[in-house]
Amino acid sequence: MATRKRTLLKVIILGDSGVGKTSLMNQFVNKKFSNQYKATIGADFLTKEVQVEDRLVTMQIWDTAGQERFQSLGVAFYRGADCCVLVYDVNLLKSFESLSNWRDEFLVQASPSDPENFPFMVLGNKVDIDGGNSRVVSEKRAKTWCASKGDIPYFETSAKDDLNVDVAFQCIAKNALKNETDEEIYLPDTIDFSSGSTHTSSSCSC
Amino acid sequence: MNAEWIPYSPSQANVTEEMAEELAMSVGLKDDDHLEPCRQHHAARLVSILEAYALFDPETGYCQGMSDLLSPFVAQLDEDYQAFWCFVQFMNTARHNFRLDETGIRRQLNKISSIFKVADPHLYSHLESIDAQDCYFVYRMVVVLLRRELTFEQTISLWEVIWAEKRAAEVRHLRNSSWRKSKKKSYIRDDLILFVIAAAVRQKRKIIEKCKGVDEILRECNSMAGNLDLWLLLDDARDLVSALHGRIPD
Repeated sequence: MATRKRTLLKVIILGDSGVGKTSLMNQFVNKKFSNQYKATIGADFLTKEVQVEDRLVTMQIWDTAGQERFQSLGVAFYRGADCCVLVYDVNLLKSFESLSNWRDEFLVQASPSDPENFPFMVLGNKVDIDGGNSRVVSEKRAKTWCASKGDIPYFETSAKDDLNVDVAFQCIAKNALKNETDEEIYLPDTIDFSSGSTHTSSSCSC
Repeated sequence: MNAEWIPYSPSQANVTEEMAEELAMSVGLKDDDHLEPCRQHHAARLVSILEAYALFDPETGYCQGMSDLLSPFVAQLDEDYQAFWCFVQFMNTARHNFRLDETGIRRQLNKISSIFKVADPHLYSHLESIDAQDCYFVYRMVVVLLRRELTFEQTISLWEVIWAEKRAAEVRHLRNSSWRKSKKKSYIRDDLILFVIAAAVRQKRKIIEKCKGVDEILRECNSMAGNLDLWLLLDDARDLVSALHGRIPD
């Protein structure tokens, strides 16, 4: 094997308050869900090691307060992000309509070097609620929006039922890795083609 | 919402399911079926008082974190109007933490930064070297006055100390001339909370001075939750106040 340096992928989760950012992160990292709501104040992050193809990378997943009043946190903590995950609640139209703002806000505050090609991801969360009967944003509408913003990969998730959470974060890791700067590219001795995964209800391009 | 307050409030701990549900319905609380009656009742009271506050102070409105500040009042006072007016009084100063332009929070973070700069140049230069001198890692502690780091009982104690200090500062201000005459040194600060937060960080200075990034410092700070000794912390904060007397503007 070629020597490789430890890779840290910094992922920022954004979206309106109450859409499930903390829950998604907790489900992915700790395999736990609590339906007791506790608003995130300030910022926090969790880390998890993931295997992306033949590489072991550490995902550092940042969760910040969802209220627009705490904007300056962004400047302090979004710097150096490798991927930004935008979350909305499929049962709440306003949270979907806010996605554009969150995306713009992120680009301003994190100021990535190549904003055009910066990897985003959209998650439509809480698809479990009321068996899907209370949803107000259709998958088609969400995908149309994602397509209009440069083909952002889209997943429908339930942090509560652990639906699509792993595949979504796996895809996030892949996309974040793709965005890595050139100096971090290395040549592996072996390439493993067997780890390709299949997933449902997604338009992940990776 | 945490359940720590329940033992301190026997009358509210025993609300019936009917009472809780009725109140939850009346304030339009949803998705709270999983809560025990006393917690559902508590949540519903928080909602109605925060709604009233948002009308009372529309400039501030509602913001995340306010329920952290209100919850101890609701737990200790059975009547909503009492909890409301106590909260209003508390928010007289705490509302600056929730301003849309964030000037209130930034001013306080700057002050904590200058406390480090004066009291602990070594720590400060380390913060500078990793671009963390803006002290955003204590953002949560400042916004909800250490509510997330301390237990319910510790929080009540700390807040009472802070209020007493604030009152003492007001009295000192009124009697300023006579105090000066007596040449008594006074170490009263109405921003004592910032010294407490700075002291909490300094308790971990050895670890923090080894942190290679602001993420590691944030982790240290967030992990203080549940692990602080309040009285030791207040001693340290008092030491900081007297050591820095006259060197940190009010």
